[in-house]
This record gives sequence, C-alpha cells and structure tokens, in this order.
Amino acid sequence: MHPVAIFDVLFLSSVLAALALLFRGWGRTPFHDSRFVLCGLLITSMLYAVCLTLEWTGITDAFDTVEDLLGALLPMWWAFFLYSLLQESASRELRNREMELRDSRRRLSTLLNNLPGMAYRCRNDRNWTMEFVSIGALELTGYEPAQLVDNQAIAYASLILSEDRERVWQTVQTALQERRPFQMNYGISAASGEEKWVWEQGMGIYSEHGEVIALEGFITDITEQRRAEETILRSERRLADIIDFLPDPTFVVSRQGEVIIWNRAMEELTGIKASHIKGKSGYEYAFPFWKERKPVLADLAMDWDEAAARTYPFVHRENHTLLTEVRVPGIRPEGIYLWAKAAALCDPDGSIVGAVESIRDITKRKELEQALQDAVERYEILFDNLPVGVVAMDSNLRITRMNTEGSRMTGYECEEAVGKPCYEVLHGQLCHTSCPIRNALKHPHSRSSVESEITRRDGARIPVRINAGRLYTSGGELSGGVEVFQDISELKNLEAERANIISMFAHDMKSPLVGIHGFAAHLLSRSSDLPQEKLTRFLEVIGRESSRLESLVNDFLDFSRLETGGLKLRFDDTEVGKEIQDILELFEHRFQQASIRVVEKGLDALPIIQADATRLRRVFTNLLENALKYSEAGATVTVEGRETPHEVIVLFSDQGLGIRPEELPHIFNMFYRGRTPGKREGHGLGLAGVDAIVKGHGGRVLVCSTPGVGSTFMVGLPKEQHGE
Amino acid sequence: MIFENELIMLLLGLGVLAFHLRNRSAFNRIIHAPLLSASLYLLVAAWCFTVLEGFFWHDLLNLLEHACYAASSLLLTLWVWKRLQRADGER
Repeated sequence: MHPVAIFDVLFLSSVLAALALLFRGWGRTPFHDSRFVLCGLLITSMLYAVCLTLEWTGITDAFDTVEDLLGALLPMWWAFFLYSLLQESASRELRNREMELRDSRRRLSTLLNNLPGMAYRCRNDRNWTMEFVSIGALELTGYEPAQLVDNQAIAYASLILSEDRERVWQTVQTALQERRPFQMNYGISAASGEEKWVWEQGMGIYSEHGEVIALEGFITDITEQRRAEETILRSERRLADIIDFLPDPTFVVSRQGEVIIWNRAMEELTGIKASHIKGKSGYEYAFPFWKERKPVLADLAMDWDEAAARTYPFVHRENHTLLTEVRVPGIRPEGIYLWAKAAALCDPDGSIVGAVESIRDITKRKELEQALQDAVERYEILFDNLPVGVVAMDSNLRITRMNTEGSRMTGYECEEAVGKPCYEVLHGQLCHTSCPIRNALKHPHSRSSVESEITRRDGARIPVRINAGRLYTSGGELSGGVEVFQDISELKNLEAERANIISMFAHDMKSPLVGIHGFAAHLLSRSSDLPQEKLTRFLEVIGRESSRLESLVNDFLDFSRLETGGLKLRFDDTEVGKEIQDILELFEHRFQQASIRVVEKGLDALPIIQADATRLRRVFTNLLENALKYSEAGATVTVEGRETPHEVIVLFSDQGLGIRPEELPHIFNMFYRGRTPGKREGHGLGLAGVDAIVKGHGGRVLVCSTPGVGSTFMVGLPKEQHGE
Repeated sequence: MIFENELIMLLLGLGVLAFHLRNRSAFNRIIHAPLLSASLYLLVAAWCFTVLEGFFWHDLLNLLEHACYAASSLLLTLWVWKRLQRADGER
C-alpha cells in the first residue's frame, strides 16, 4: 500500500476514535457548549478522510467536488470550534469569578457581623457622614446602621463626647496629611446615654489625584478593657501603698533587674530615697547592703545561681520563694544581720516577671541569741561543775539530764542514765517510801530537803542531803522536776570526829580533875590530922595534876586555834639550834634518870630563821617527850640539825619501840593514841599540835619508823616567811 | 499549478491560525491547549503542503500533507481523550 494511503487510513481511524470518545462521554463532556461544533468538525474531518482514502480506490473523480467542499468546511469548523471553546472558557471563568465574589462577600459579611465592633466607610467631613456601617454599630452605638448612614438619624460626630471631638478631628486630619493609618481612643455617648470608650483604627481612601475620597476603618468598644486597666492601676497603686507602709524594708525588681518599688522602711534603713533608685538596674539595689553590685536574694528567686547562693550562709528554697539570714557589711560600719525573704512574681501564664524581697534587721535578735548561747554554755559549765549531784527528770520521773558530780556519785555515765527512772540510778533509801521528787511534784509549794542515803552502782552507800524542786516550761506548765543531792560523807565523818574529840577531851580532863578533886576533898576534911609530909605530897599531886590539866587545855586550845586560824604566830628571829639546846638542858636530868644517851649534831650551825620561838619550843618539847617516853634504858636519842637552801631541818631519832605502819597515817590526828603496849600516858594532842604548829610556819613534819628499831621525826622549817 | 479550492482552504486556514495566535493567551487557559494548538498547526501545515505540492516536490509534499492530516487528527483525538479523562477525574 502506498504510504499516503496509510496516513489517510490513520487519519480516518483517529477521527473515528475521536468521534467514538466524544459520543461515549457526550453527557459528561466538560466542553458542554462546544461539543456540537466539535462533533461537526470531527464528522467533516471523517468525511474528508473518507474522500482522501477513496482517492486510492480509483473512483477519485466522483468525490472531488465533495472533497473540495469538505476541505473548505474544515477551517471553518475549526474556527467555530476555537471560538466556541473560547466563549465557553470565558463564560466558565466568569461564573467562577462570580462564585468567588459571592463567597468573598459572604465571608466579608460574616466577618463584619462577627467583628467585636463597627466597620465603616465615611466621608472626611466634620459629621463623619457614614457611607457604610456594619451591623456591629447597633451594639456599639445603639443605632441601626441605616440610622447612621448619611446621618439619617444622627451623625456619628455627635456621638463623640464633646471634649474628644476636636482631638479626633485633628488626629485624623494629621494622619491623612501624612498618608498613614490613624489610631486613637475616645469616648462616645451611646443611644442609651451610656458613655463608652472606643478604640478606632482607620485610613484614608484616595483618588487618582490624591484627594481623600473616604475614610475606612474599624471602631471597637474598649470600655471593659479600660475599666480593667483602671482597676489594675488602682490595684497596683493600692499594692504600692501597702508595700510602702510595710514595717519591713521591701523592694520589688522587674525581670530586667530594674527597681520598681522601694518602700519607706527601705528608705529609712538604707538612707536611699525611692526616687533616686527606682528604675535603676545593674544590681544597684545590692550596693547599700553589700558595698558592691552583685546578685541578691531577689535575683536568685528569678534565676537560681549556685555561685551567688554560696555567698549566703544558707538559703532555704521552696518553689520560687527563698529565705536566708546573713550578715552584710553595709548599712552600719560594724555591719548588720539581715533576715531576708524573696519570691518570684509570676504572670498568669507562670512566667517570671520580677521578684519581691523583704528584709528585716535582726542584729539585736542575733546579739540576744549569742548572749543566750553564752548563757547556755555558762549554765552547762556551771551545771557540770557543780559540787553537788543534779538530776533533772520529766513528769514520769525519767532522767533527762545529770551532771558530772551526779555521774560520779551514782556511778552511771550521764548518757547511760538519761531515759532511766530515777530510782534505778539513785537507789535511794526513800525512793520507794517517800520519794522527795515525787513529793515535790505532788505538792507545788513544798520544798523538801532531807538527808538520806543513795547506793552507788558499785554498792557503796553514800549519805546525801537531797533537795527536790519542780521544773516548768516557758509557758508555765509543769514539765518535771530536779533533784539535787549533796555528798555529806565528810560532814558525817567530821561530826563523828568532833563527837569523838569532845568525848576524848572530856575523858582526858576527867582523870586529873578526879585526882585534884579527891586530894582537895581529902585535905579539906582531914587537913588538921594530916602530917606535914603527906600534906605536902597531896599538894604536889594537886599541883602536878593542875599542870597536866593546864597543858592539856593549852594544847587543845593551840590546836583548835591553829585549825580554825584563830592562833596568830608571832614570827621573829629565832635561833633554832639554841632553842633546842635549851630544851635539851631541861631534859638532861630526865634522860640521865632513864639511862638514855642524847647526841647532838650540827645544832650550832643552824641559821637564824623567822619563827614563833614559843610555839617551836612546844614542838621540840613534844618530840623529845615522845623520844624519852618510848625509849628503853640504854638507848640513844639523836638530835641532828641540817640546812638546805630553803629549809632548816631537825631530825629527832630514837631507838624506841617504833610505830606500826598501819598507825603511821593517824599519828597526827587529834587524840590518837598509839596501840603500843605499856606506854600510854599521852593525851593524843602532842603530835597533832606539832603538825599544826609546823604547818602554821609553812613547814612539814615527816616520820619514818620501824617497829622494834626506832623512829625518826623530821621537822622542816622554811628559812624565810613570805607574807602573813 | 494552483487549484482554487486548495488556495481557499489555505486562506481560510491561515485566517483560523491568525485568530488563534491573536487569542493565544485566552487559548492557553484551555486545558491541554498545546495538543489542540499543535493539531491546528499541523492541519494548517497540511494545507500549505497541498498548495505547495502543485509547484515542486509533488510526491514528498503530498506525503507530508497526508502525514500532517493523520498527525493532526491523532493529536485532536488525544486532546479529546485526555480532556474527558481529566473531567472524569475532577468529577
């Protein structure tokens, strides 16, 4: 087949296909109005293609005329088709535009009707003559839009409050001259007579020549907002007044660190006026306190800073609230202690907008606390060092505190005793019968002071004097009791010793007195009958016993005066060696009678010392008496004088019976008599007197003795007396 | 050699082409307009070849003429098909 024929067949086939497609989609074709023209075009094309095809069949000439006709129709059908397509496209676009316009109008209408105010278009005249007003005018002004348009019922200008009218005019005219939008607030009087605050924004509409054709804009009611603002302003002013009159110094800073409020108390504390510091930032508010500009507690409340927080001794945090006590170097030269509390200020969304800090000068309180602390420490020292045992207990008689002496007396450590019932620690005689503390708690005004005994942990019984009292809280409520117990062992011993001394003294006095009384009575009754010899012997006995009695009384008096400080020693230059030698001369006859040899050593070399010679003679006499008394015949008594840089020492050595070791600690006690068999003539005051007199000189007496060998008494006397 | 009917056909076709070109921007808003425009251009080319074949290269230009008819009809068919298909899709 000729290639041209193939193209013709293809031409015909595609036209037929197009026709088939068109008929198949006839009812839903998008080019609804052009489908007939397209159908005509396709049929013409089909016929033309048939003619072209038939040219190859050999009957060409028969269809030449038809072909020519169809060939001429084809461009025309195309022209119609294109024209109808354009028309259809244009009409469709128009329909779409109209629909868009309707939709836009509907949206605009919805928008205008739902706007919280009034949209308008007005002329630029003194009446603000309205050309268009949205439905919102009714709610805003109380007038229907139709009443406002063209000033039908009232001109909008007459709704504006008279005092604002000129300002509104000037504002709009200025904006129009500068060709910019205008915004303003002013008051209007609604139809109901209610005055409202409105906010208006608008702009001029200009012609091609730049003339103002109209004004378009929007007006909304801001009365509620204005009232809310006024309420907030009043509230802020009230708050500022409250803060201003707070007794505590207080300041408020904004998020940017500017001082917003600085109250009067703060002015008084820092000496800085609020007018001077308000609005300042850069930690200016820290300077009066810290003498430097640094973050303070209020800044930490807004933004926590670990490094800044470390400049405070402590900071208690609770959400956005901080609390501290700190000593600051400012305000006064010596600095002050401040209590400070700061909190972040948040808006309703929870965002921090600033911080408030309130401070208080607690210097006096701190000083009182320090004084109290000192007092407590002193009390603790006093309590622990009291020479009496003190036990504090609660109302259930359980120990809450015990001092050191109490611990010593009971044998319980303080920590160990706390919490135990008092009777488990004291083990007192009266605990289960007449407990002093229980009595004190029962009877508010009773003051019990009793003597009793407690039993120490190791079983030792200690005589004590117990005083009990009640303890009260600072509110005056009974909180427990306190028991004070004093160890009276020594007192008891002294009492026993005193009774013993009196008994011994009376006993020692009785013997010479009986003798004196007996001989005196004998002399009175039978003096005429007695021979002179007996009379003389009787009188000698009476004289000897009187001397013994006088000696006893003198020793006793000297001893007791020395013990009580009543005996005043008369210090003078004394030659100790010479004094001893004088006494030895007096004793010479008695030693010879007893066949006892006396040896002197170094007495001549002893220096002169400050001493009471009379009392020293008594000391040396007593010691020689003892040596004589306890030495056997043939023994030797040695009296030796020595000198050290500070002392004069005299040693009295005998070869007598000696003293048993267990007796040695007691031989200087008053009325103590040794248990040496035989020799018991002493009254027990001699060595006690020796000890007392030597100690009165500031000296010392030592004894060294071996039973059956002998004893040595050493008397050491200071060479010089210092003071009284 | 010029045939009157062919010349008339060409002139009419050129008129249609001029109309199309003058309103080209409006035509371009028609969906799948390039197919339609190409179909028209090919048809006008076929008419041009019809006239020109009378002067020279008769066989070649005749072949081109018929090829342009076939191509033009194919493009027109394609436009109809695609437009209907799109309309179905939009629906």
